[in-house]
Amino acid sequence: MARIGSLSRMVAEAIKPGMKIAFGGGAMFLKPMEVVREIIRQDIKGLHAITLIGDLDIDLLAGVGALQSLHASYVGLPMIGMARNFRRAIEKDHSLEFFEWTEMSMIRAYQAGALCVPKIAIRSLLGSDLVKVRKDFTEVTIDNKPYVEVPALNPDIAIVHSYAADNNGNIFYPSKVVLEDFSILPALCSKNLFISVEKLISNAEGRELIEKGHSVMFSCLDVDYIVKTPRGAYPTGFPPLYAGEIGHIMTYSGLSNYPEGFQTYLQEHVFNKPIKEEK
Amino acid sequence: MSEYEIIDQITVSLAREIKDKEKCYTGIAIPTAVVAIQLARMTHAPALEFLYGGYWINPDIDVDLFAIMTDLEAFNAAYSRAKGFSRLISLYNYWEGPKLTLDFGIIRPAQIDQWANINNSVIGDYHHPKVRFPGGAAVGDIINTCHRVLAYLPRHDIRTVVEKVDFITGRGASPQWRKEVRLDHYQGLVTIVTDLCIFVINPLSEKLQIKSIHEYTSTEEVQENTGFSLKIPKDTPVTPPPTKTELELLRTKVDPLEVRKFDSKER
Repeated sequence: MARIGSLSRMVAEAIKPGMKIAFGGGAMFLKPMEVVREIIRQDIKGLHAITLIGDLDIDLLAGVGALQSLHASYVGLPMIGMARNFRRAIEKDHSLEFFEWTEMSMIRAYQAGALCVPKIAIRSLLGSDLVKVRKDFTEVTIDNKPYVEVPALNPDIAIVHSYAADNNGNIFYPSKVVLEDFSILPALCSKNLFISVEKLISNAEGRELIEKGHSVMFSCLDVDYIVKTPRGAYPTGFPPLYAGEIGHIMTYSGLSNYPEGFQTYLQEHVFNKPIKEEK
Repeated sequence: MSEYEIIDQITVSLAREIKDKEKCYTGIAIPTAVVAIQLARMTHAPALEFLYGGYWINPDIDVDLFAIMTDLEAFNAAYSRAKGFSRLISLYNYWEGPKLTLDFGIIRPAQIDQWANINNSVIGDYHHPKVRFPGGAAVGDIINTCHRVLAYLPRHDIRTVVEKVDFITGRGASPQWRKEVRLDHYQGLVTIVTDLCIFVINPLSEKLQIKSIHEYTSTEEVQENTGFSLKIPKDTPVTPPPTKTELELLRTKVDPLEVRKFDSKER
């Protein structure tokens, strides 16, 4: 049953150390950034993060030492630079266990998780050394053809940013842009679903949004936790509502080159400027 | 060299590998690939079907890649003029699903070896790497799911073109291996454009072989910057430099904001 509550209370209730957490969104858009910042403010550690393309979300969590392991196909700041905390955690601190995927294999693992099958066989991984280093990838033969079997992904919870939630907990998304697959796939394979939205609306307003062409991204039966976080994807973008803040990410890229700079960033953008909670 | 920049040579050489009416894919964050595809659409391949980032279908020729991520007006303008929009799940079905229809993809390896194997993962031991690259994203998939794959390497040197990669994120051409695993309907990597030369795959040795050398460099310089012996024949052709038309299109229509130069800055 969907529950609507404050960011701090919902995060405290839903996110526990040791959890496997899938993060929605793609490269620099629709990342649930305000929820990520709240996880850091609450100092929740030992997390196992899962995301197709990791950028600022993963680098922040890696930088504060919140991640024990990470599943992803790419972690960086596309076109801007490297994810320095992610690199330091692997190259220097050896504190982060990285499960590297290709995009295709990870998508199929999400889909397998949603279907409740334990494994899925694909061919695009053939020839990659990932098959050698990933102990959970196995080469198999089906109908005389080689495949690589990868395990399904079933995170404990998925965290996804979207547009609006009505009183019953239905989630609405502006259907002009079809970027939501990046968030729907991880949500469908997760046991619980945590949604941050730009705004809370009445049931009548929800019906009006559908008339205006919004789609129901998740129904009230899919969703477990709802929080309101205006501009909650910032500084990643949420087109057509707001664009990514490239200047912010460039500043981050510069500061995060060194651990001291990263601390400066954290103080300014995570600890000192919590978004006002209105509910 | 005053007439054009190295990245322009890479861009036009990539564009010339593209044929009209093909269906192609490239990801975000590799700007020169996108600029090359857009240039091809403006010149010899007007009927190309271009799936950009798994989302945009035939975005505007002059769309600024950075702007559509960071500027709402640019996004909306590009949105209203694109041919269409793909669902992400459809993209993955083009790769490995009932609709196996992508003619080519373009990738940017962090490192490549003499067998055209791609490394976008690590330098050093995999579990305790000296350098952890961001990861291949879809590189490993594209190489096994497009009919052919083009690659570009903005900086060709002994750290990027090596004898043997420390880690194979995606297996290069390997025609014999492709036959064995029944992937031979896909050629894998066929052409690699670097800032010094163009490589193709020798079908017999299955190794990289020089197709041409850019006019501003020399066989010596190419060999010095390559981590294995190339045996470059004396009569190796010179890559045709960018034409006036190509340069003018790049500068005025396709990429006036010079997004392609992000590639020369990186690293």
